[in-house]
Amino acid sequence: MTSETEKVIDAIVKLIRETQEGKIIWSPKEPPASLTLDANTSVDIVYETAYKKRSLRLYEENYLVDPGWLERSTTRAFDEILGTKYPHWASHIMLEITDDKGKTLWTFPEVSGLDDLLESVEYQAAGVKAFLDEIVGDKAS
Amino acid sequence: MEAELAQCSAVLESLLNKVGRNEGRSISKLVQLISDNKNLTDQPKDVVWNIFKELTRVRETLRNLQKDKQWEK
Repeated sequence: MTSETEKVIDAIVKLIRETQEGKIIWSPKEPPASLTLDANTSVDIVYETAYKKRSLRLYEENYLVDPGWLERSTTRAFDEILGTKYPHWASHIMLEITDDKGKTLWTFPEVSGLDDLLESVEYQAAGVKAFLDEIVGDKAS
Repeated sequence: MEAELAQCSAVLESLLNKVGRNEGRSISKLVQLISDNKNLTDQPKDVVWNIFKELTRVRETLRNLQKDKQWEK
């Protein structure tokens, strides 16, 4: 693993920590038009925050995996072993630095930890902690 | 959390003989870190987050190894 990748992972872990500690507040938003134009991709919701004078956007993008017949034929044996069927949907998590108009300036590389960050952000944005406290509070009273 | 880390440590140790030297080095570092901090309740939060960071790095190392192995096939 390169030191650049380690640095990205360290940054993501810091974002997870500050999200869980409530130092970073993420807002759920409708995906911008640029993320909904392609019929082979779908994004349900994006989360945005301002951090160190930058804007960050986090979301899960579902995409259709449908390689052409030529590419499919070259990997057929491998696909058969794995039981991969085409076309199928897959997903990846995107973390981006955006400008003030929402245009992507830079996309973080896809590394481990992004899934944990999304989970923490969803937990915060959905107000799960307060909801659980309310439920437990109701039970006690 | 301590129980989960103990379980995690056991899995990591079992992986040591199945990976190369580079991956083994990251795994050993994490196993040592977990072993040095068995009693997390006495530790500052930074220690726990450091374990999580190392764990995420090991996940990335293993993910890359898995990708390389798939390519070799």
